[in-house]
Amino acid sequence: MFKTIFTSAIAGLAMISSAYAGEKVDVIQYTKAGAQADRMITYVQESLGENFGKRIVVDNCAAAKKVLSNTSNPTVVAWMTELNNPQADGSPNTCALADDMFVGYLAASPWSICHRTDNAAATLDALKTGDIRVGVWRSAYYNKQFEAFLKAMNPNAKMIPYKKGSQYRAALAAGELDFSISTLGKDGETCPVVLSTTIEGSAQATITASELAPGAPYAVSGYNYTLWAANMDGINIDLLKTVYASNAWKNRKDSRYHPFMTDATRVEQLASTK
Amino acid sequence: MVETLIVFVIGIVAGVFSGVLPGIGGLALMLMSYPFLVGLEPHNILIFYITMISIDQFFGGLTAIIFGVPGSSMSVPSSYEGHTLMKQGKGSEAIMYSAISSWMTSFFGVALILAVTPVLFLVYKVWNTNIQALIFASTSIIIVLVSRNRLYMSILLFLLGNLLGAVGYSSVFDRNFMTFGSSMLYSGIPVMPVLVSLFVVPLFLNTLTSDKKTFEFPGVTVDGYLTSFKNILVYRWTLLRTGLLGSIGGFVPGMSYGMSSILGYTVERVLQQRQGKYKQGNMECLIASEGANNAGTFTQLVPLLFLGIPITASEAIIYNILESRGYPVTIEWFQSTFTQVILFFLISSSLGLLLAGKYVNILKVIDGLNIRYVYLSILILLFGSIYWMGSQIWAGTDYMIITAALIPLGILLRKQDTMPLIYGFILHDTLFDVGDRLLIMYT
Repeated sequence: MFKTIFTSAIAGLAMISSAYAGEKVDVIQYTKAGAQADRMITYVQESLGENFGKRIVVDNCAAAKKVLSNTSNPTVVAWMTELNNPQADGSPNTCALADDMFVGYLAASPWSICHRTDNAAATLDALKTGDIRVGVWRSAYYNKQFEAFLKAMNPNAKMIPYKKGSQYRAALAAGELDFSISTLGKDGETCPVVLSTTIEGSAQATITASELAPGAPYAVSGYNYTLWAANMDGINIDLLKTVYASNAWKNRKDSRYHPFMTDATRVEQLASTK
Repeated sequence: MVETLIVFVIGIVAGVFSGVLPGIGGLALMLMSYPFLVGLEPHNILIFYITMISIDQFFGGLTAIIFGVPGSSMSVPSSYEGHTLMKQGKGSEAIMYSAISSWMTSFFGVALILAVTPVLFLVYKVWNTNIQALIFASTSIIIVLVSRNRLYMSILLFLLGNLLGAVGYSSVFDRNFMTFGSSMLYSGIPVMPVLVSLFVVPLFLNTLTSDKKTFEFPGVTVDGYLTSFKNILVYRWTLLRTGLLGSIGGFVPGMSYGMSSILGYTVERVLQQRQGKYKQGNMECLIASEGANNAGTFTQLVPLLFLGIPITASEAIIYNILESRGYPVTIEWFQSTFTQVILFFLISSSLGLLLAGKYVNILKVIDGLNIRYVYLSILILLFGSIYWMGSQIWAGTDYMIITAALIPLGILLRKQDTMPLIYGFILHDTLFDVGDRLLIMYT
């Protein structure tokens, strides 16, 4: 027991003190703790092992971009890929990162449509024809896609946006929502529809969105993260390989997230983010 | 068991730091402790957290009362009421009553949850957007109405707070708002510069222009505590209301214990005003704000323990650690830790009461000092703290520039009660989220 405490404390001190050594790799967290992006960077952090420097916590992507541009330490971030797209008004995204920082796609997961397992009324029929409320994560980029998909699938479906996943999970439990769109169903939830070309890899899925709503736009869509890093010259770590080989990645609860576009070159991957 | 005891002691030390140092909240300490936490047994991570935040509540209130500096947004009412009592020479009384009421409401929160455990899930059945909108809208209206400003001024300040809160790049709208092309503003206006420039500075300026020349703080005594214990029953209805409101605020997603404090305080202030008893420096309001915090501190764990839903950032960190280490993050596991969590929460609350009394007497050194020098020293420390916080994310200069840019506004507003502005700033995100959702649902 003492050994655990002692080892942890030493490891902690070592990590903190080494943060300034310039050899360790720092990671940036730019979303609320517990959010998907935070979990992704946690996998990266854990996989770095003794090469991990420190975790830099900022309020949002703009602050993260500033850190990445100004730090002289090797630093890595798991980026929500849509932040590289132009903004709604067509201007370059405030959070878009410099191309030379691009490492590659980290992971992607298809969206799923979920409901509370104990909600007997949440059937596929209800999803297609019912007067339903569907909770989604509030995002200017994805909400347009969800809206278009839902409208095509069921004109009576209403999309209700929530700032955080915990909020729409609570809303599902409260009966305010009939369904939600997310990448991962939590305890007490079932996800029968997957927005993918196949139900393979989605344990609970019984049907794809294309089968449920033929011709609906964005019936095949998902969420993905890219890895970006600065000051990695001289650091002999293949970030993506290190992450995929780690126990943190193997034990991840977000098992729907898998490596993405692995056959494409870095240039092709980068082009697809824009 | 040995590991648990060591974790408990470290949790106490972390709680003292988190409470005493402005701007270093529980979340920051959880992050700093991350390398330590990942090596612990899973139940000990929960014990560390509950101990730290419980102790933090006792010490955070002291800084707000004695120095008028809210370490976080939830201590704003304590600073407003408690520091006024301090300036009236009732600092010792304020500290003792707020500490005792915090301790009592901690126990109240536990008792309430134990009493309603069988029907707890029903609460979440009614926690929908309508109820959230009702609570947030009522709280906002009350904050505006109870302010000592003229009504139009309070409304303007509340709107100004919302406006400042909205500055920056928004991923919700996918556009920049009021950034004027300055990259300094893309990430928004940080909380600490707003609290210091628009709340602490006006508060200090008001005191400096009054007749008050020296700081008076005789400290607290055991006899004083015992007398306060006997007399606390005078405030029994306030305690009951506060315990209830604080507990409710704590365990509903989207609120948590920060909102408990606002809820407890605003309701008490309305009642005091309606009874014609309110004047800045109101003991009941101080008790309400401090007590509600503590009741909510425990009940905020309930969604995690019973629904497996982390509702605060610190809880999300715990959840992440457990998950990344491959532990079964299930509701059953969380529930199995319930008894231990309660036990350590109650012990740490009792220790918090005792330790806060010990700590506060160290601050007797300021008794009789020139108030100008004390405030000047505090301001220098606060500016240093803001710079340090900013420099952690390569934005130290930005933070200082933002602080400096806001200070003239603070000076301009020195005659006003800036609490509506602060709450507008803090609540704007939630108000927008809930308001917009309500609109979508009913149009």
